[in-house]
Amino acid sequence: MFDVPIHGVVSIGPVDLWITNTIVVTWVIMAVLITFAIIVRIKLKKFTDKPTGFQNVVEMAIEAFDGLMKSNGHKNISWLGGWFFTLFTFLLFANIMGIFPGMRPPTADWPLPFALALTSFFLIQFSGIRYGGWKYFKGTYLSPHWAFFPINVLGEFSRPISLSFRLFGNILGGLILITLLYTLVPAVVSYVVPVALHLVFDLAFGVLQAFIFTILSLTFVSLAAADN
Amino acid sequence: MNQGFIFLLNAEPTPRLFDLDLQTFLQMAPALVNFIGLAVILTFILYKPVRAFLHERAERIARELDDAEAVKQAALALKEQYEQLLKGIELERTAILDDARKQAAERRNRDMAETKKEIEDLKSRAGVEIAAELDRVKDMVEQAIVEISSEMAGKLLSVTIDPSIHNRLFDEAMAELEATVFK
Amino acid sequence: MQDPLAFVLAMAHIAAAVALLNGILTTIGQGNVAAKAIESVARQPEARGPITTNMFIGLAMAETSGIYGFVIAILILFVRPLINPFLQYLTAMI
Repeated sequence: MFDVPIHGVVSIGPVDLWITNTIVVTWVIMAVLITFAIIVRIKLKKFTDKPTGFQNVVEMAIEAFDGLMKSNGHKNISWLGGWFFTLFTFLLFANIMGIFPGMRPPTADWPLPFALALTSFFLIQFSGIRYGGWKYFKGTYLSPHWAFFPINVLGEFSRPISLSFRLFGNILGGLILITLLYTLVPAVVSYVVPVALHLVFDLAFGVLQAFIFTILSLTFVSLAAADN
Repeated sequence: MNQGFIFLLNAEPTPRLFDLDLQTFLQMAPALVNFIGLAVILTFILYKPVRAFLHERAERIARELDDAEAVKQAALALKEQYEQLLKGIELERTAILDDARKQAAERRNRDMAETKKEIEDLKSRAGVEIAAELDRVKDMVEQAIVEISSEMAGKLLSVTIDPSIHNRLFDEAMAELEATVFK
Repeated sequence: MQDPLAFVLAMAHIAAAVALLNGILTTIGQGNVAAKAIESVARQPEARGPITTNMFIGLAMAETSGIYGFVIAILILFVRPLINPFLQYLTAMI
């Protein structure tokens, strides 16, 4: 009932790559965001000093995110602002996709959140090594003694797993609750009652989880970058 | 699987919710590619230009604020100058007022003194006149007394003394009186 | 034990319920986080923004174990990873 629909298969040699609903919805979100970005880029030349309407929204979003980066991120990783901005925007759209009919939130399919969490994991390691060097590696992986290396590796790998499962579980829980409710209530009522649940589980939890995923990644990366 | 495109399909896929097989990790590849592409595009189309625009505007506004601050300082200095000027004018006004007041007081004092002197003069003249009147009244009274006393003396003497003596005495008294009073 | 499949399904549902029981402790932990955050805001109302941000991070951290239990329950209920081995075992028996 909650399975990820598969729209097609691409075979590359011996392996099949399923074109799941997740990938399709991701493409939709990408198309929306890139269109938005291009519109902003075109309109940017006409932006005035007194923001109105569209410009106000864009400026507020970017400024709010800039403030978040400044307050939570180390100054070393300010060059990653665009990455975290994209992460937040993409997750925001992905999490609230459930309010559109026929759309399944792509974050309710584990590979996507885990891929995002893996990028965060690699960013953590990368910034740790880049700004902390050998000291970071020693402090993180060989912390009390070199014999603890496997345990520390497990501990480090638990981060992307917990990150991804947090997002995945929350969004999937909302999806399951809403789907069950749609199947339980009569068809007439189904247009009225689940609206409140959509508000809570899709909008509120979606925004919250996008924020938490972004800010946790940001905090981890920033902690690693500040470690020197 | 509802609809879609199939190229060289190895095996029929079955939709699932979650599994930990090779396909799950294969699914991560397009997700990664999609997301990294999106991040690059959004960073260079949306985030950086808008941020640069905001930054540039903030800087310009800060510069304009600085300019405005300088203009304000200049205006404040001008205001200070004018205030100094105004204070000078005020001092001058006070001085003129004081002067006028002093002059007025002086003039009043002088007038007062003149009037007082005039009054004194009038008073003294009136005193002289009063004294003259008093003298005149005294004379009249003396005359009346002389007349009355001579009359009384005449009556008295006519009774006791003979006319010859009386006349002599009368004449003497008259002469004496005339000598005393009307000299 | 006439129908082993029914037994396995019933046990799977019971297992899902047990896995969801950790929501109790998770909720208590999250309640503690929120209570402490509210106390801090009451003590320092000017630090409301950072406290709220950190409260959400702490809530998310405390939620992790609950989410693990929830995911396990979902897997047991809807993915049924143990049914296929069980069916293979049954066919091998027959």
